Amino acid sequence: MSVSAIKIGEVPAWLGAKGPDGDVVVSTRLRLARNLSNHRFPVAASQHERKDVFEEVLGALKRIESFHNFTSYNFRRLPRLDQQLLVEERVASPDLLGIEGERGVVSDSAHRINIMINEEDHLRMQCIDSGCGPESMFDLLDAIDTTMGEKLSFAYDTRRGFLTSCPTNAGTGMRVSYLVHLPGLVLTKTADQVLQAAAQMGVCTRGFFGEHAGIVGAFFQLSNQAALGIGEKEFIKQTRSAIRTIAGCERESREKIMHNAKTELEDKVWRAYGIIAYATTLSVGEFLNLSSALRLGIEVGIFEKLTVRRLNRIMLLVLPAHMQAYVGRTMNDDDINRERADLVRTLFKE
Amino acid sequence: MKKCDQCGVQPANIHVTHIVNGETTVLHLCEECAQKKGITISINVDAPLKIDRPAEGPPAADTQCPECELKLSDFRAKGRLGCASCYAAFEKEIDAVLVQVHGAREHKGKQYKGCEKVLPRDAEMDIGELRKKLDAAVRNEEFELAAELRDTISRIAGRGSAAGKSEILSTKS
Repeated sequence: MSVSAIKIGEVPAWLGAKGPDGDVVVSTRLRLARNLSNHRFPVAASQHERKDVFEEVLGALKRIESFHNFTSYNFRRLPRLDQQLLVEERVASPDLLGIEGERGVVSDSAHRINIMINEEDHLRMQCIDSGCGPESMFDLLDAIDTTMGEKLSFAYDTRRGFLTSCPTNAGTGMRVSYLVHLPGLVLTKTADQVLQAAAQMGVCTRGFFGEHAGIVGAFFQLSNQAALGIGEKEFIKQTRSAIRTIAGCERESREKIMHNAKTELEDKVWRAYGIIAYATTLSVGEFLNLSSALRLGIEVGIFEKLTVRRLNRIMLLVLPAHMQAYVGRTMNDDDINRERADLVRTLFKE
Repeated sequence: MKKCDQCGVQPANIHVTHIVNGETTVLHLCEECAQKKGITISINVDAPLKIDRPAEGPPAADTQCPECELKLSDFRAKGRLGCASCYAAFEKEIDAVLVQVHGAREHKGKQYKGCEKVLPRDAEMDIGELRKKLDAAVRNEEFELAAELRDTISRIAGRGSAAGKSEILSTKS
């Protein structure tokens, strides 16, 4: 099924701005990695074997009633732009783009549950939703995992747990990541301190928009560093506790700023609005940095022209593949930046 | 939390594993002492695992996985394993990596009960043969081979290796 049939701009669940702690935690993603016991891992498998795995996993999914309304996307057959749209919506990982051969993702209509096949592991089951709610997401994914584990034979060892392609994922095979917005900590120059403390709580940090992009728009992705040694619920508790602490620090910084530097903050927010609403060319990085100020403005009650949900929708639409799908042709960077500025100006006027 | 082996003051949250001539030692350091030793600590959990300090030993010993034929040197270069059997084939190296990354080597999470499919008769015969080989390996004190056989048996037997393990312990004594 072609992704272009999907209405561009419908917000996937994780951008819905509905979940708890939404003022700091944009979204939570929980992933379980599994491999089939009777096949080589994707990196070592032949094309023929990858095809067998793909068909075996899809076959198992088809036999499970709750997956009947899911859509499956075969990346080998899907046009490149459509693949990129799915990556931007976080249905599939960027790694799935770079791989050859039979691979894909099966997803529900809200793009809340996504099951990748033949990425780094045979199966990567993921639940992604807005706000901070890993416990219920785990219950859901755990049930899916148990059902899948009955239909397929997973590579598992009582000593090392679920066997993954990379030992960094072995054991529970679980990665729980939180996309957080920390403009208060960034502005008060306390982000490094807080995040180093988080590392001591078992949570590691990286910038959200690509490994090499650094910190853009005060967005950070926080995940469990270890995946083996304690139970899944303990990992969730551990990370949840770290997130709660970080969110507390972020809220305190925002209060401090509002108390001591409200005028400066207002000016920053409204200048950001001025540029976004009137610029004639905008790069993604520029948009994200400026919209971070608007997002903060909304959270502290200074800026009321937009809701967070609407800002999230715009944030998705301005990404490169979404821009090209919207405009209807491939473009070079300069053209995209001009089109982006036009689109943003239009959307901000609505 | 454990205190730093170097300064004895700060909490140690960096664990450096050295494997020399097959012997594993772990150094527990605080961030400051680690930096002084030139060890940087930003771990991108999604980046490929690069094993910077390979085990020293006879250069000829590039172990290979019997199932997928992946070489240990390939694993070190790419940080990716080829199949489930690699975990037994490269047990020592993986053990060190697990301690380095997770600070642990034993899984304490969800137990996998196995799939619905019934074992074919052949598998049962294989297990018998393997158990005989396992007994022989233990008697001959070939413990690495015994560990591999134990893992293979537990994989075929559908994760019933809790029983398998106690059998091995009783055979050992």
